[in-house]
Amino acid sequence: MTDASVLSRLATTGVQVTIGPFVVHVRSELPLVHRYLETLYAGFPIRGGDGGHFDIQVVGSHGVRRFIRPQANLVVNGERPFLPLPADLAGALFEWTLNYCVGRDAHRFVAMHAAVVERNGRALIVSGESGAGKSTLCAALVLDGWRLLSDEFALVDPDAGTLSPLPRPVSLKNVSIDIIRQRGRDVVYGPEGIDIEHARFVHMKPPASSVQRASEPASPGIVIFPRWRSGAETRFTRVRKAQVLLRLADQSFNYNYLGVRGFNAIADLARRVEGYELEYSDLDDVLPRLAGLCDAGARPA
Amino acid sequence: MQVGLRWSATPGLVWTQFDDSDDWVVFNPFSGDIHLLSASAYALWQLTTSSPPRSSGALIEALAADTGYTADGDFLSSARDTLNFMDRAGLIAPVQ
Repeated sequence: MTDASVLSRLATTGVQVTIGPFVVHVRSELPLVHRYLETLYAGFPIRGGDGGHFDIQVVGSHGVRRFIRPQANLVVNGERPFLPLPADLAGALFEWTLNYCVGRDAHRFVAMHAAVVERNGRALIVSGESGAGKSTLCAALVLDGWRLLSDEFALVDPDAGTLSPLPRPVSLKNVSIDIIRQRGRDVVYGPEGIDIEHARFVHMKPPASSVQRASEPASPGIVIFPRWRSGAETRFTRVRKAQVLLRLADQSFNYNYLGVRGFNAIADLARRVEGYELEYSDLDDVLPRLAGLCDAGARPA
Repeated sequence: MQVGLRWSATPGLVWTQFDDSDDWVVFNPFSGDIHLLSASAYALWQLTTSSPPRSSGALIEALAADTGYTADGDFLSSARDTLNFMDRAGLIAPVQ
């Protein structure tokens, strides 16, 4: 568990943070990164040490840049894949860099851009482009008691066909921030900021219970393709399995890298799940319906 | 599509089908792409697996015979488009 003495190594040898199946080695002398981990990663297994699946260093700028519009540089596995960004984004940069690492290098799994939550042993995969209401729905479900596996990645084990958890802070943007803050008043949030696309963002700390169950995979049950539309009545429309396969593959970072194994993993998942398009506007209406959908499938025949 | 070419199925493609539709999904491991094909398109592709390879005209004639469709203008145009698509997607290849 996290304590102050372990995090004090962040600026020197770094710390190893275990996040689901990955060990992430993080180094940074920036107080914002320290504070970010202290606030949002309290409860995660963190220890001093070197090495890991991913090596992330958030480095402050030097010279005049230390005082005028300070910047943060990212060193990822020894390389600098990004241009420097404003230093006040340093905490969030850790999350975005981790997204980059998992999307690029997690080839033990078929990685898809999707949120995953679980209830009564059935995982609900929420797949959609940015702006579709994916993270809002994910955060609201988590506040409603669903277990968080991830708000960014569905990690499919190609051998077992299960979904591996990667519970991390949930990324919220723009109007979602206010909607979720109203629903989760006791929840811990990171610092609010403006990202490089000029969107307001904040990260919501994941529930301790989800972090504690980070090594417990879940079986795929339902795939939802949500679309939030102002004033829309909640409507579920069944999606054929072939379309589920195509749409999930379209959101996959690496199925074609894994070849036939990657394709078969998504095809098997599509075969096992119920797929729906969901149009909605009212979370209070849609949440119990999703719970009902999940529980109906979970009941023995 | 050049008239007179004969066509052969690309080996190594991975096909799958689900219980809620007649459509087929194919993964081309050489391109890494996934395509959705109708049952008729799959039937046309299957005709390219037989030996010796057949020309576009012979394949379309055989498809019409197998499916019971009349080989009218719409059918011919749709079948030619499907062969063109399968050529572009690397699901079939011309043989000398």
